[in-house]
Amino acid sequence: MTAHLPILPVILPLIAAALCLLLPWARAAWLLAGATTWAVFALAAALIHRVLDQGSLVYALGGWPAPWGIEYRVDALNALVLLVVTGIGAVVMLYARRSVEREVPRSRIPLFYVAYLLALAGLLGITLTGDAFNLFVFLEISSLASYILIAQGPDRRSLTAAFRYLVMGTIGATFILMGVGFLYMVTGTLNLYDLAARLDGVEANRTVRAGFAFLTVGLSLKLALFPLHLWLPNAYAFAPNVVSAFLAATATKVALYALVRFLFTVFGAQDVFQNVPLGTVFLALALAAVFSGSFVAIFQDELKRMLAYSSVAQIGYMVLGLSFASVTGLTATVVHLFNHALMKGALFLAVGCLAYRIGATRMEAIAGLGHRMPWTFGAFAVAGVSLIGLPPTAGFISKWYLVSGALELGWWPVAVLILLASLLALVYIGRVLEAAYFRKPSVAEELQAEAPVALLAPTWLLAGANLYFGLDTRLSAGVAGEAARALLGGPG
Amino acid sequence: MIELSGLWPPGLGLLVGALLAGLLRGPARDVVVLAAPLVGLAMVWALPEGAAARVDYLQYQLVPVQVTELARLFGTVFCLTAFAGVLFALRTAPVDELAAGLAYAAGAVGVTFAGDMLSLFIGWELMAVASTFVIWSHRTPAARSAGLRYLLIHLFGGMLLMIGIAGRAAESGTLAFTGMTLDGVPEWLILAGFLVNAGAPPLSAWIADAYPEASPSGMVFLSAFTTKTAVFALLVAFPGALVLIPVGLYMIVYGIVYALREDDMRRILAYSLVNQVGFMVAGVGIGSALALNGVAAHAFAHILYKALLLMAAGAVLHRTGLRRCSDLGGLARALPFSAGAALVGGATIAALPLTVGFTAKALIASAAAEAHLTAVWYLLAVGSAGVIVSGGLKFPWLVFFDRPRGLRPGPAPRPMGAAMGLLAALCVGLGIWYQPLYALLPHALSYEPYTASHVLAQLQLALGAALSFFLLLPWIRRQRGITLDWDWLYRRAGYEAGRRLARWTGLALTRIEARAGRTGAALTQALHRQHGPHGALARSWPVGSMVLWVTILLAAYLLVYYL
Amino acid sequence: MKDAILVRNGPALWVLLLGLVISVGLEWSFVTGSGHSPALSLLGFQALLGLAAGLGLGGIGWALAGLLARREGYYGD
Repeated sequence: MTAHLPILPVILPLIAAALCLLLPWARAAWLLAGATTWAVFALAAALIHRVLDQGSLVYALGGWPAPWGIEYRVDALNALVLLVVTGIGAVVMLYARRSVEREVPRSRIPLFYVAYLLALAGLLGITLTGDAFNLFVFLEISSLASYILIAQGPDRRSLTAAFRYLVMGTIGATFILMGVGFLYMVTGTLNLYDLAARLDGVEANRTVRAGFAFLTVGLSLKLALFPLHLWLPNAYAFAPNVVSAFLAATATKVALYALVRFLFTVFGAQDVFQNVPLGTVFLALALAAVFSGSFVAIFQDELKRMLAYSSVAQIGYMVLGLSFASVTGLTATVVHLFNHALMKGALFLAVGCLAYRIGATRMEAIAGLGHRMPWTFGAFAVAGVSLIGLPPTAGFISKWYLVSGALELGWWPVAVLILLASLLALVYIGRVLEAAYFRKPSVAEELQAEAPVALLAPTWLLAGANLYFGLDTRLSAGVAGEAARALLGGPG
Repeated sequence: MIELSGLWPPGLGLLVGALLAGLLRGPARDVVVLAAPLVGLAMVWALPEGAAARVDYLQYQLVPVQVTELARLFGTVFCLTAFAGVLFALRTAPVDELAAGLAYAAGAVGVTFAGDMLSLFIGWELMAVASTFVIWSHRTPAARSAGLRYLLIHLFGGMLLMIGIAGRAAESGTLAFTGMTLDGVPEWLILAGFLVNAGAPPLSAWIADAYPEASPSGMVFLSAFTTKTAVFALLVAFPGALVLIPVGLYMIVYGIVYALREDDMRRILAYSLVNQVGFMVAGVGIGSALALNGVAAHAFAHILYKALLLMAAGAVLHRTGLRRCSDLGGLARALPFSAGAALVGGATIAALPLTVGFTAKALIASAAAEAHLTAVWYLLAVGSAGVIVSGGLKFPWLVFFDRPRGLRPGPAPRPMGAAMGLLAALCVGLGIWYQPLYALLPHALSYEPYTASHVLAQLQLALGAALSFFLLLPWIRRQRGITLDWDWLYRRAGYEAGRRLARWTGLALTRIEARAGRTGAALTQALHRQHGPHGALARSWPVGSMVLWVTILLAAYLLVYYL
Repeated sequence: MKDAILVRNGPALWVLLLGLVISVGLEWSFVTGSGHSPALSLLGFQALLGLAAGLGLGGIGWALAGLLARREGYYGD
């Protein structure tokens, strides 16, 4: 059983999705999906435990050895990403029953969970696989499932948002496929680790460079790196709350993981950052993302859009860590990948609680509700403080590593900019809290009640995790550090 | 690894009190909020001297609790003032003010007992947030906007501090909270971070801007902690840093002059606060053992008498609803207790003999004389005189004596009276029995305050200054409005500039996109003139803008990679 | 103006002047008695310093007011 550990997180959701299709009852579908996500989370926990104990795990699919067969390789980096994705998937599932029942027509709910499980399977597949084409396949699976999930939103604009995401996502996936194709042409292999070995020495080859470029652009699009982020705000704003929370915390993270994997394991840090000035490009784009995302978020009146633009800024932070090309920088990226999932997950779930009660998420609607819905806004406040980066929350850890990374390189202006952006985050989070606590309620009296415990508990689970991982950083920063060292000292 | 060795952070009692305050009601809450500072005080004194707790965090070893003499001194006066402040606020303040005030005190005590910069930083940020909530608990629009400016400034200061801490850790691998030399950018940033909280120029306007917008009892809390923890931090980290002398001297003169110009009684006291902190900052700059003792003693005394003065002002504000000296006057008969408190506070700030102001303040001037810094000594003496005019006399005289306006407010509520009595007793008591205060000072002290020359010198200075006050009184009475300060730069100039920049960048981006789009569209249209219908192109435009960016970026990447 | 000051604040002012006279007198007795006093180069120096300081700072305030005074509500928020 344990020998098949690396493949189970992918197979279980796939099988469960098929079974879900056969279940016509919403409640049963939810139970099945919930059980699956929690089982997968347990598997992820076991995997990370195993990897931290005994080092990387290698698994050949169907017994066919690499490089002809598809190989699944689990090291510290993808074990951590796996934990994050499955964890969020599981916690959001707890939340999902009532929230989804509110937003999706009852007859479609089983199909909703089918799509959810497929998206999860796709994301986990990307995380675990060691084969480039397999990665593309799972990318497409998760993307298609995401388009469906986003389109389930109660607002009619969700369809347009899903369509735009579809167009952009397909372009991105096509670029990735072309990139993989170019690499295959040069090396004859699709296995990531074999690619790494074969590309050693031929990096300057035009085809390789072109493949590299296509891959980077394609993944940047999936990652929503400025200026390829234009699909994200609408997609997150109009999707059902469960979907926003799930995707915001996982989809872009997995794309970032894929980028890191390609940049550091396949191409190698030296080639990527020294022979090609990718560090400078990423630095510029990351800073642009951070500031433009934050500025636009400040002027948003709708909470989910605001959080979406905030995500664009946070993704900028993650790529900023990448651009440092140092152990500290990469640790910052991975740690923020972990922490941001917790922050954004909690924030979107809190907004979902709000939407559940009053049916709207605009600034005017939330006025004065801080006192009537203390737990909801309390969770929002805790996650918001983590987003701003005050100690002792998890966000502070990310900021600390980012600033340390910048200062290690002597880039003082960058360190200042990182913290200036925290002030911007203070403004947009502060606007929400100010409206909630310091204004008179504008919504009808009957609607002003606290959200149900079924929704609050998962929200607080994630919000509390922000506080916990701000104090105990062994799992987040410790594993991130290990992963960073392995990536920078590793092959290529 | 966590090695607490039975050391609990003393701020914990205050923090628990803050949390419980929000959950309890009625007498139970009153008991808890009054007990919390006393518990904190007990915890401060229960800690054995020289002890330290260690915790492993990230890659460093933190020292969240470190017991030094200086920490004890500041911890004691913080807990005492927290108690007095809670007592003062007991019947009149909303519960969020009490809870925020206790959390604020907890942060201050946390900073005082921190042994490393990261623990200090945690306390620092807790103070910033909690004090903002103290301001915001007074639900007026002015408090809201002032509180937001206050929070932004404090988080900015925290940002400078954090970069400094991270830079110092990156350069020298240490997070220790000890003396530092100003030989690198990180140390300067840490100094800047401390000075923002101290109210040093150019960011000194936040004190007079934000503090008076708090509730009558809220300002008592605010006056005690932020600026004094900054002084404490300067004492530990930068004793003898000469740059602090001119900074302190600026603050001294600034505080007096702006207080003379001011009409709002609590803004007068706020400017006076900056002035007094200026004395402390200059003292840290002088750096000798006597000076540092003087700073510590002055800080101790200042917390007590500034709180006393603010309590008197708060009582007046609470009973009359009026803040401006031009609206007030002659209230001594109606509010005798508050008038008495204001007089004791005024006498203490004037450093008249028999008050703790006398026993504490002379140390810094003596240190300047000892170090033969004549110019500094003169300026300090001028400052002492000035503070008598602007702080010690102006507020009590204009509010409680001088032209009666026929106001008939009721007497101050009992808790307020009790709190004022407590602090007045401390001010006078420590003036007469000063040995306990001297015993708490960090360095050995053999100073005798009650010598004939000291007493006479101070009395003469005070009398001369008082005479000048009465000569200036007609002009002082006529002061209205506000005085522009450095904050004009970010409240007017910066804001305007920011708005114009935002509009310009927005326009620029749309113009670029439009132009690129037009060229792109023209090209594609030209290509497809013979083929597809024009309608299809127009319909796909919204998607097209994203595709456009993708194409541009791909071209850019390819260019970059081939270079 | 002098009348106004005296009439309004009469008692306080008389007490002040009395105190000044007494303190200068005490100082004189100390100087002749003990031989020297630190930081006092002439009788009533501290008093003069206090008076001058107060008036000087008031003067700075008056000058500053000319430049920087604005009505309340200037910032409009």
